[in-house]
Amino acid sequence: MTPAFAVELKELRHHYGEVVAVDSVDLGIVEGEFLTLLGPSGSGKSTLLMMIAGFLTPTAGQIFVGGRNISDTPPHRRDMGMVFQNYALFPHMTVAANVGYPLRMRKVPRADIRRRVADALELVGLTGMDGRMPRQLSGGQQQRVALARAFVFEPKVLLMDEPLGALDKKLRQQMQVELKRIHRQLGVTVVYVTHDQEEALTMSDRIVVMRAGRLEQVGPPAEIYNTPRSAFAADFLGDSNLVTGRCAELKDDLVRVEVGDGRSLWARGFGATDVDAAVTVSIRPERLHLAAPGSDPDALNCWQGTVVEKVYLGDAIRYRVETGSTFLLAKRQEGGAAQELDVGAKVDLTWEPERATVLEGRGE
Amino acid sequence: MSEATAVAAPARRRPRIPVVALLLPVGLLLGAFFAYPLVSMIVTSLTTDSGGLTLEKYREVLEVPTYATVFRITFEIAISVTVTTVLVAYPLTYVIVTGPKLLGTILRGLVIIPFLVSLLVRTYAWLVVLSPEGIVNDALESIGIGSVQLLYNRTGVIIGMTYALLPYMVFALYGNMRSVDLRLLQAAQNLGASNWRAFRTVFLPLTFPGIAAGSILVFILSCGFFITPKLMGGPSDVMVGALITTLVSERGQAEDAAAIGTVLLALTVVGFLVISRFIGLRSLLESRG
Repeated sequence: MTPAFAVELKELRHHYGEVVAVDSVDLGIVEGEFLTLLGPSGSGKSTLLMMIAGFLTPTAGQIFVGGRNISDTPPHRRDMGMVFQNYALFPHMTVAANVGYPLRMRKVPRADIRRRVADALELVGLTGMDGRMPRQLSGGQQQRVALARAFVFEPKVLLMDEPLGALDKKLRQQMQVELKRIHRQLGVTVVYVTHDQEEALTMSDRIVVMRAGRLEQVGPPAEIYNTPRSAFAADFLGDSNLVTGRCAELKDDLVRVEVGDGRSLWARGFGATDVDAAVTVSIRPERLHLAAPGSDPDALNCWQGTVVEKVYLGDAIRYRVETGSTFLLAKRQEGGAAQELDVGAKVDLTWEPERATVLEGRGE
Repeated sequence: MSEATAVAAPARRRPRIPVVALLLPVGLLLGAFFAYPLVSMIVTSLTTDSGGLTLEKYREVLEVPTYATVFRITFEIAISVTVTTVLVAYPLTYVIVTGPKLLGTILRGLVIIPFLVSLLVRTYAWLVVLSPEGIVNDALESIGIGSVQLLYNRTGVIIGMTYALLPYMVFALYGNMRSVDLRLLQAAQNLGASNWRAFRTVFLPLTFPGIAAGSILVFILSCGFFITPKLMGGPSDVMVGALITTLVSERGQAEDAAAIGTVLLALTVVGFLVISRFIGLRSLLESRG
């Protein structure tokens, strides 16, 4: 009856005195998936991870691993590998001793330890580094040692607390790819905490957007990106234009929203919208097309405007367009066939209704 | 000077006073009250009454059985005190560093406050506390153990000196323990270590440098202790410090005293090297990160 969740959180809460850090979280983590807890600092994502690891006792609620309630199990018997933000390598031990540590704690025979440490180091690309001390390694190498140490004992779950936070951008992207490779090879369940939306989008099977101790939205990266359910989720993952208005008409999946200045737009409504309700619509900048005035008379959504700002992003150019009483951001790939626009240029902003999403709740 | 220039020149230039001038006060102080007496002591120990050079006094130090005994007693006491100080200070400092913040602050205060009172006063206080009619013996008697001789013997000396030297050990350990990242203990537990194993395999090794530094400090200070053993020890607990005082002020044997002082200095240096070789240097080097 119950699906085979690797980890299941039931009504999990945590209070620091009066402050609610995690507020009644229900979440099932599927065997083998890469799940990312994404949110700004203070959203409770680290608190949630610390409770799963056993370093924090929940104020209320239960944690199940493989169907077994582990809420009262001390951290050292939870059998979860963890990669800490600062790596937490033991400075007085060699690389091999660090990676072998969890095996020694489990009384694995010495010959097996040697073999498994060598295998783990090979998987993270550190063969031959066995005898080094942590301080002799670069940040990226320390990161790999911490990772090897966390999975060498084949834990049920791998927990990662912003493991790439201390690395520079280039190395971070490289490690993202490696983490994914290792995740695929091991097939282990990963719970990953980050505040970096790009990291979450590139690595996760599913993303949990957290806000003020609650789960704001849970879903695969593309779903969360394309159909955010709240202004917070829309804004936290990538850029978003948020337009507020009043729901004027429902037609199939679509909704016509009247914006204050007499104009209206069509967007996906998700069936939850009543006529006359105040709504907020999210439109991604790259979904807005910049067309020559009058060039696309059939477009369902077409707002006339004027370019007021132009920002060069390298791979794209971002325009700020004044249209009616609002400003919208539109992003266009650099080097395409379309001609570059200058500030002051008149444009038509067009977009497909399916690419604009009505958010849950009232506009904020 | 205007604000603008202050902002524009963040690297302020140091007033040009020669380094020699800056070091002059400390140089004079150490020269007059440390280097000169030290050299003078060594010279005295090597001079005959008529002014010639001799090792006679050193032969005497080695040959007179009383002197050898005093040295043995001194090192026995210094080593015992070093060990007991570690045993008392380590758990105390552990609580100060890892326990609740308020408790840590209070305990730290309790360690520091006695420093504000003269050692002599504190030692007399111990005489009252540990006397046969004192509160310790009252307590022991009330729980049926009976009165125990805690004064004017080796036990008294070790209690008194451990107490007097405890703050030095606590300070040495405190600085070291504070620098240990407590998340390492979480990491150890996460990897399967119980509380105790996490402590033994991670925290303890990382605090060897503090133990070494504190031990060296306490050992060296113990070797020169003089008031406490004299007031709290028995007739057989004469340490080198007391011996030197007796030789100088009661018997007028300044040359013997100088030779003993020089030997004590040499032995202390050897003791320092031995301790740092055993528990110090390697861990001192390894924990740097």
